[in-house]
Amino acid sequence: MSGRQTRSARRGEEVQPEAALLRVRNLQVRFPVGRQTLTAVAGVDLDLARGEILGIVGESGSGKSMTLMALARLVPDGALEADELRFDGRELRPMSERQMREVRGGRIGLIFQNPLSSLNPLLTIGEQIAESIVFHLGLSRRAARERVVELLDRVGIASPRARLDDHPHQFSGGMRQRVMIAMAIACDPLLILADEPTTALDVTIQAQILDLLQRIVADSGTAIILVTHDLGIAASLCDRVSVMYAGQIVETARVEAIFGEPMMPYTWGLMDSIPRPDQPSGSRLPMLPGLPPDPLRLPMGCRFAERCAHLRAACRAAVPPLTGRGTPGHLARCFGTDAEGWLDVVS
Amino acid sequence: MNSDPPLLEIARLRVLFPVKGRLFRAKPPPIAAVDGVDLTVGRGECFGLVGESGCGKTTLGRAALRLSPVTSGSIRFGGTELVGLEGAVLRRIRRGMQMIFQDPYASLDPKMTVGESLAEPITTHDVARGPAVAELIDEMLRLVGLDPARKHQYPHEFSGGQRQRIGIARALTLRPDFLVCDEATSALDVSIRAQVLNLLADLRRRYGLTYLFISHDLGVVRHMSDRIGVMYLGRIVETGPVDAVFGRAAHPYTHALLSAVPVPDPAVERTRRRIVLAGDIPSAAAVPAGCRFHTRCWLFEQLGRPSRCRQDDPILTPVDTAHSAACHFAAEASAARMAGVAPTTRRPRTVRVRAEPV
Repeated sequence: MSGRQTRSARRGEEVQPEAALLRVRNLQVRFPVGRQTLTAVAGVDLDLARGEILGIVGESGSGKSMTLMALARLVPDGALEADELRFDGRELRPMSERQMREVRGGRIGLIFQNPLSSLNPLLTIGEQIAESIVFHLGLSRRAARERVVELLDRVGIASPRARLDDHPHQFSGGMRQRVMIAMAIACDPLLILADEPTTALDVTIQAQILDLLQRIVADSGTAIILVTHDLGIAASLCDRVSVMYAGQIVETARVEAIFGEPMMPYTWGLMDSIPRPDQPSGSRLPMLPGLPPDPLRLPMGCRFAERCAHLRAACRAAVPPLTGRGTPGHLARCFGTDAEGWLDVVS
Repeated sequence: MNSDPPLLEIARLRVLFPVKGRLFRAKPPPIAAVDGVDLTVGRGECFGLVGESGCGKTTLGRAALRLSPVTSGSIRFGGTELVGLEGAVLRRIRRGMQMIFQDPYASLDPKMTVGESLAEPITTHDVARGPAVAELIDEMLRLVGLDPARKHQYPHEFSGGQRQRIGIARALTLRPDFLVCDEATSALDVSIRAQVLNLLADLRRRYGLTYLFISHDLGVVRHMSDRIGVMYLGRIVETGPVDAVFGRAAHPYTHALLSAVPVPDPAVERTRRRIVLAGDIPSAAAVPAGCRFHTRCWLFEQLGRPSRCRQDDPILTPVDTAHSAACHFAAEASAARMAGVAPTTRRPRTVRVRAEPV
């Protein structure tokens, strides 16, 4: 928790374009499905400051994981389009696959939900982490090995030297995720992209991993983009949160604002449908009716319209733009709550 | 509660699974997935069972329906002893007990239409015949909020939430009294989860159903249950009314669980102290001696590693009315200042429709 203060100082500042670690404009990911085109990510803008933790929350199919993959250019060529995809001052779009491999695992670390599928079962833990260190930092085998010991120790693996030569299957789920985190931070990344890093873990193990991520950010000032479906994790770890729905960001704000003064009916619905301890047990939960739209048959207007309790004709006519709300940096995509809208939110 | 005899009474239940031996080695002892559990669920009650993977909650739930092999102990359902029952008698009683699984996709035959899947238990148990079968199917689909016209469609044509509704409809066709819901909403997105939780709560009220509600999600269990049991390595380590267990936890493991769950409230998250348990959950094949939780227990460390925890296996002991914990130092645990989930500071939000512009 020691990192809280240094980060909260950063949190309120406007992100200056030159200071931004990541600047993304109009990110699109499209796939051909039969004769149609499925738009998984439909025009996402992102700004991330150095050392900032941004949460992307949403339900399955909202495009949150696809957005994260696209940031590391891990989607097939041709599927990705953007007006700008600038990381640490460099445009990633024109880079060759070879150059991208240097960025990935180097200045950008990656953590996925299921470490077992991202670790090579045939290589020892030591070999796998060392490989990336040798490739990115050009260290000798021997020096890389020493660095692996140091990294394993940093992510809380007991007697790291003895475990170097173990294979992934000899580690528990939580320990494997620690190994993944060690790989992600091996080359002192400026940014970690984490996709549901604790979803496969039990709560007490999840608490250990969240604690570890918090310590890494506090110690090294690494920025994180954390994709999660768990609003509790977003509230506990993130500085800012973006909510995605049907391929679009529908709301972005600092964490206090998104939980305290959400400005988009979908965000309300998400938050209200989580059982709260002060509700009597067995009482009805407020719920969103229906389902997210079919990505191949998206509505003309607001993508949330059909499930919205505050729907008006205007919502069906055009897609509402992301516009500013109360506090600086708070954006929402809703005609109802914008300046000319018909909804007042009293918190 | 009430004075009626409980619908389900489980006593001293043990479920042991044999471990395959290795050539020329001594055969290893069996793994105790459920290691001496007492549990009663009253008629119309919802009993929540929480715990982490491998704690035995699913095995216990399956054993209640005699779907896991029972090694010893007793399971009484509506006054009838189920342990030892076989064949037709067991099948008849089991009609009154059904299960809802986490992944309805795995329990629905992809090559059968939804209507055919629902017809199967009806005809097998001869609940209805002829046109009455179709009527019953339509009624069940309406009951769970699906359009009966969709009974000719296949499981893949439905969303996850809708498939879970089909799973519920299938479980209800035999008009059971008792449902075991095993992580029934864990695979669902939050907005869909609320729909299914509301449906389960409505059905319970409407038909006086009794639930054994198994989940790793403490928030969901708290919302659904009247009483809960917290499981750790095959044992219930704390049980009682939901408000007592979550509000005045008396077992250090319950404290740790409650403090580990992040809540959607940044103000609480910024100020809370999380108890981070050291290490992994021990394997059920190597249950620690003494208290099985002592290897990860923060209170054990705080109290200077008392030898009692390493030597004596604590049993469930009352700490309050209907509230018990299996901890030698339950009083110290209850008094711990790292108490449960801090109350949320979220204020209720009101949305007002502005006056129309003229």
